[in-house]
Amino acid sequence: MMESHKEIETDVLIIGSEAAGARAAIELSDKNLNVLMVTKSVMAKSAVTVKAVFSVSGAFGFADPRDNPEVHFQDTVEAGRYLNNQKLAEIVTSEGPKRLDELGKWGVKWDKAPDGRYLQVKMYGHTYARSLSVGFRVGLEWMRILKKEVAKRPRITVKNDVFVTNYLKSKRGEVSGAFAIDIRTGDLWVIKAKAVLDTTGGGMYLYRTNSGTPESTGDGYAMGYRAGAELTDMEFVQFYPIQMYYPPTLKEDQGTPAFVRTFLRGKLYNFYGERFMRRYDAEHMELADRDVLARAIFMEIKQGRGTPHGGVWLDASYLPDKIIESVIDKMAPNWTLRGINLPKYGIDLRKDPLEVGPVAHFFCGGIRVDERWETGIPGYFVAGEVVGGANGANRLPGNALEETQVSAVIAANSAAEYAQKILHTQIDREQIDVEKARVLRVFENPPGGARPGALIRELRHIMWDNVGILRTGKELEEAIDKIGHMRTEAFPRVVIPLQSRVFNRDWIESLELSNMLDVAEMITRAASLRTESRGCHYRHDFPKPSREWLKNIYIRKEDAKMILKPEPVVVTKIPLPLEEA
Amino acid sequence: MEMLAVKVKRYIPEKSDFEVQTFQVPYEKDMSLLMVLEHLYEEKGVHFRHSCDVGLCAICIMKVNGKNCLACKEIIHGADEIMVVEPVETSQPIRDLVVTLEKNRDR
Repeated sequence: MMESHKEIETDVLIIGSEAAGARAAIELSDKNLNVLMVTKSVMAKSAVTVKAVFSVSGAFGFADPRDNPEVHFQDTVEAGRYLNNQKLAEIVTSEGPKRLDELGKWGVKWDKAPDGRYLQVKMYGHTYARSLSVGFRVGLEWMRILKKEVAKRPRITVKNDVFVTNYLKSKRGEVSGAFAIDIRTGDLWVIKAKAVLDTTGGGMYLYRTNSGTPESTGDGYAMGYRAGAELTDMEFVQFYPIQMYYPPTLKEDQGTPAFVRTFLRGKLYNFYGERFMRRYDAEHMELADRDVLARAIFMEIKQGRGTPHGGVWLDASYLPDKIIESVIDKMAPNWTLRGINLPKYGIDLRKDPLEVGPVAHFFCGGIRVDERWETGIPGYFVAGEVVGGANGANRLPGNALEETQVSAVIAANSAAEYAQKILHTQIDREQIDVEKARVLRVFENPPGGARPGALIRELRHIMWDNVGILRTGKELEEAIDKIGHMRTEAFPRVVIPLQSRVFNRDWIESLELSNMLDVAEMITRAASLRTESRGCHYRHDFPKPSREWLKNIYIRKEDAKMILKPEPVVVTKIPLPLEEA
Repeated sequence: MEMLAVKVKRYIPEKSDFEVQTFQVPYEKDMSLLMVLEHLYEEKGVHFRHSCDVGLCAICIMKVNGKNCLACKEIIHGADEIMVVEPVETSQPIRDLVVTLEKNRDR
């Protein structure tokens, strides 16, 4: 007997509930559409938005009147090493300020300068000071306000703990809904929708060490790929150079190491006490570019000169106590940095070095869209980090949050226009039984296989070791084999110990693993094809950028095979360089 | 190896009731409660929520020795520490330490 399911109907289904999802829901509701917004975790209490502590770009020109969206656009393309889709980058940088003002009107308490206008700070890679923040909790503040705005709108229904597994299409090929699991009950859902808007974010969790959250499994990339969408720039995974590796209660904190490196001029040492930056960038040392730092630290660790918890030391204890104390008094009263009381966690900057290392931070690539954030598949729209293009080969700090708001509003308007034209939509029922069989298959597997969590750990190590900060053709080929092997051998035999479907983490992880395998293969194949170094993609065997590679790699599924195709960059105003430095 | 004793109040949805179980976890210096729970998930299938792991999202809220706290920021100073972990009581239990985290309205 076939499994039963619940049928739910809405105008627009939004997958993901954070910066992009919540903003899109508001826009759609204001266009008089009914919205069902689902998240596989809990709204405003999970995922990466709330983890954003500092900086949103907005070229208001308050701090420096020479600044404007045009300069911001140029900075963005420069940072993206000319691979940005310039149409998208231009829209994000020019519409960003409007969106940030709007958040302010709803109640986001932006930090203010003495003149009452937004306080703008200069961040890495930006020509002018144009980054806004709200203390050191910009993401939390955004979600506090966005959640309030969502709650005011009765057309929006939010469902937590709902995991969407695949899109469902009509016989004509439009996306007309999605298949989902209600994690709390284990019930299967068929959600019928006139349009679907995906805001599931990035895939940082594919990497052993990352600044994302366990939700960042790249579900949106994998579902889009399976539905026939194109993806772009998947090889460009941005790494952040320094984050705490130890102690566990401070792990993933970026604020303390940033403070020690910049304000206390902390020095980096490997396990042997060598100040290794001398060998990588003797001129700038610890203040070298982010990418240079990340690669240097990674190399030290990889070559066996790492600290006990797999990082390097960052130490300011060479400074006289009095100097450290005076900086702390001024910038971190009571030794409390961004809400973290260091002595509580046993850290005394006057004598203790920090154990730090690099982390996967952001996916520049994603689903290909046009300037209306349409995917080319009718009924299927995307916004936020799941989209590729605006950032090219690397992303400026603060541009990601800005992009969530701009893309959410445009994608929501495109989805609204589309949904308003649809009178009724019909899911091709055959897919439902196929998807049910796919999601339930793991319950039938015989004992003896690995648990999905164990394979996820293994995959995250493969990605970190072979498809990470420093890449070589040989290691990428090895990774393709390992990923392929996991897909054909280990994955089909995964076992889940709990037979109940009620909040069964292993079950959900088995489906996330299936998505992660697709995404891992995309990143690895694209990184292998791109025989140059550019932006955040660094090939040890091709350490220079190549003019031949002023192209984007597009990925799509064709006859069950992964096809990669380089295509010319979308250029509007900024000409591509004739020669690469 | 030093072992840490952890008492966990688990909600068993199949029985619609709680069960208190005591587990032994290998102790590591300065370990967090999150690490203990990750170990218990792997070894004993104990379910719990976590996300940001840096004390911001608050999804890992639970009751530790009678007080609500965040598992990611809870340091365990020694193997002799007494640990009683329970789900928070402000919302509906789902499985083990997982609760709905919604106060009133239907989700």
